[in-house]
Amino acid sequence: MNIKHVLIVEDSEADQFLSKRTIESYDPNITISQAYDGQEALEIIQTLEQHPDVIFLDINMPVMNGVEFLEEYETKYAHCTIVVMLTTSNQDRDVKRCKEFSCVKNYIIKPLDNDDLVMISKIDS
Amino acid sequence: MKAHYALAIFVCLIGFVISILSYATYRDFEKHQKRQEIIANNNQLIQSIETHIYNNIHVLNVLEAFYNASDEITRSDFHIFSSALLELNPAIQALEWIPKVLHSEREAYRQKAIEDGFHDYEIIEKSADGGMQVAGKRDVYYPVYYLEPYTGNEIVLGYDPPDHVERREAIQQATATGKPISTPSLTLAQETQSQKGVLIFSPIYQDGIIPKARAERINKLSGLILMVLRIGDTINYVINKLNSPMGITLVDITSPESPDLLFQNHANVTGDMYVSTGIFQVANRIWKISIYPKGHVHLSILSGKSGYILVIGASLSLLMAYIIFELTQRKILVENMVKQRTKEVRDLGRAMESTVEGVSTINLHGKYTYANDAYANLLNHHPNDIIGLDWLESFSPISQEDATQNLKKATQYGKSVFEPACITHNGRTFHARITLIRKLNDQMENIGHFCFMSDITERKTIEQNLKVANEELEEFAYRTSHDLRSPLVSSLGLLTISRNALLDQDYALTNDCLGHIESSLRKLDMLVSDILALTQTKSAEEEDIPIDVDVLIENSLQNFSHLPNYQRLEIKKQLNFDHPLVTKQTRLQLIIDNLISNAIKYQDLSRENPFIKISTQEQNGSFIFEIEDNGLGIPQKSRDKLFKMFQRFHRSESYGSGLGLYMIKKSADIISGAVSVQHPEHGVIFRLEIPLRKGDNV
Repeated sequence: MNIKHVLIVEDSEADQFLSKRTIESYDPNITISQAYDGQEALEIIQTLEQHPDVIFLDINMPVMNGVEFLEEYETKYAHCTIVVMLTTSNQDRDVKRCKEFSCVKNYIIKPLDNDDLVMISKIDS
Repeated sequence: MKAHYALAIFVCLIGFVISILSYATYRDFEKHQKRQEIIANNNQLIQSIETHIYNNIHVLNVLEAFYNASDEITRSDFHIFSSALLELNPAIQALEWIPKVLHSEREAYRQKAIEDGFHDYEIIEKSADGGMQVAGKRDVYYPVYYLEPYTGNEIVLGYDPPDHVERREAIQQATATGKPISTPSLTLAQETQSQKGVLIFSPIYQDGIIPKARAERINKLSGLILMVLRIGDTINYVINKLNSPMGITLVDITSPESPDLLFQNHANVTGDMYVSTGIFQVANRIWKISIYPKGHVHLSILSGKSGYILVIGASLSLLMAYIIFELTQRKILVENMVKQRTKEVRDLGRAMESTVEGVSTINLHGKYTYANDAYANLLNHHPNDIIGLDWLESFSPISQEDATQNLKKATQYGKSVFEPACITHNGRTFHARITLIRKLNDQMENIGHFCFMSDITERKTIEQNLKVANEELEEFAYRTSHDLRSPLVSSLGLLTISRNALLDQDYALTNDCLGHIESSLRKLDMLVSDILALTQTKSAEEEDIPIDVDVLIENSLQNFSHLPNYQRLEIKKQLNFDHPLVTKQTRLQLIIDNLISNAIKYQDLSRENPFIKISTQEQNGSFIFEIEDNGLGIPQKSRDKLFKMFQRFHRSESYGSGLGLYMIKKSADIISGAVSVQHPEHGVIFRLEIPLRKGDNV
């Protein structure tokens, strides 16, 4: 899969900054959209003509957390973008909950690195 | 106990009495039977003896007829005829022909006898010395002329004793009457033993006809037939022939005043009981015969059926007494057992009535048939009012399905325990622990259930609190592990980039990274502070002190005046509570600080006239603190999560730990206060209410 457009959903400015840097260094041509919570992410997706290729999704966020976002997203759209969970800790209950959603293809512990992106590019959409 | 023995003894005695009475009755009957039997035998014997005697007498008749039918009977004729008759009647000592001999005919008769072979025939009589002598001269002689049998009787041939009164009288009477006449008993001349005998004379007249006139009879007499009868032999003959064991007494009662004992083989010792008598005529004499057992008639006590009756009756009485004794013993045992069981059941029933555990029974239709006081109290009912009510109605609708399932389970497996929500008569819900036990009858058929109920609301509440606490702890651990690590991980990543940027002399990037590191670490610091505060909230013990609330509010506002956009806000104050408030200062301060800082942080920057309105007052005995703003407010969907841990409701504007409202709630709990929230069109109103204790508002 050729990644052209990613959406980072993350409430921490620092983590947004870090993820963006990593993606840019992996492939500067990738378009990067940023949302600070699930609600904002849904608003962004709604404005896009085409869904992003990958959504990097944090779990704990104000207003609308990752899980709430996935519920809304999967209900709202038939199309399923590859969602990669990007979170700080490998909590069993988080992993378990996220795997209930068919869009979720991977679960990555922060920080995001180059190898993660290589691996993601190999996922069949 | 003694009464029971008495019953057995009484029955035994009654049994004995009945047995003895039956025995006596039957014994009488047996005696009677025995007597009847003996009498019948006696009568038969009498009959036999009488017949035998008559048969003997009959010999006389036969011989008489023989004489009457013949012109002349020779000695030889007499011998032939008589010997034949004697052969048939051995008790007859002798048959004799005694002719009436006038003195003138005496010699002719003597000659004739000599002709017949009796050469020394003479008419003889007894001499003075007791021997025999030729009879003296008389007008008429009555000598024994023919004699059969001759042998044994030789001595009397020709015998005509003139002084034998009985013989003479009998001959005269026979002659005069024309009938056979017997002498009274006498000892026979031929008698060798001591038995008695009689002489019976039967007159024979000339021409074979008995003359009608008495004088003519005397004149026309030709002679007399004499039968000598040995009475003993006559009777013994019958006794021997019948082999009879009986005692016999034969008495001549012709002259009743002087009865003459003719024969007795055994004296009567039995009284009149078993005696049979018969009276019959022998020639002109009247004989009375008595027959009786020789000895006493004994019926041994236990002989015969009466004996069986006595033995069996007595045995049955004893057996019955024994059975009654055993039964009463057993009855006493059973009664005692029943008494004890009854007492146990009564105690159990009493225990059930007074137990704190609710106990009820329900029938197969699911209706109550019984409830003890505790059960009724739990449902706020009177025990009697419950009977007939639907068991399922005692459960809250959410638990009714559970109750139905458990009832089925109890029916199937005998027991079921569950913890449903129950509902009282007046609609209050409480948690109960229900134990259902299948109720069986004697045939082991299910006839309903026992339902044991206890109120576990308190336990449930504790459990619920514990569960909430546990969940909070879990959530706390989960979120802290995430939120504590997150800024550190970010900072480490940013430091790596910074180092590389420095090497590349990219100072702008370095600066950006350091900025992010700083904000991350500040967040971490804030979080750690809040966690520490929270830990204190949960655990610290603190004394109540009087606090000037106004000062507390002023200090708080002062402390947060450095926060961004503070200056935009209009601060409205209505501090009407002017007493010292006695409470834990740290808690109150935490609540007020957090509420004020929240109002500042979550102000609506798009609004022209943002404000914070703080008021204090006393209302209904409580201290009231209210803070109202026209800020961002709480999004509708998050309002139910308001006081939970790690909840943030605003986007990047918020940089809180998500613990603020949770800490407020916990602190309010500790000081017995209550925090409530209202959501006006814009912003939010938080209200803290602390009940005042006596003396707080002096």
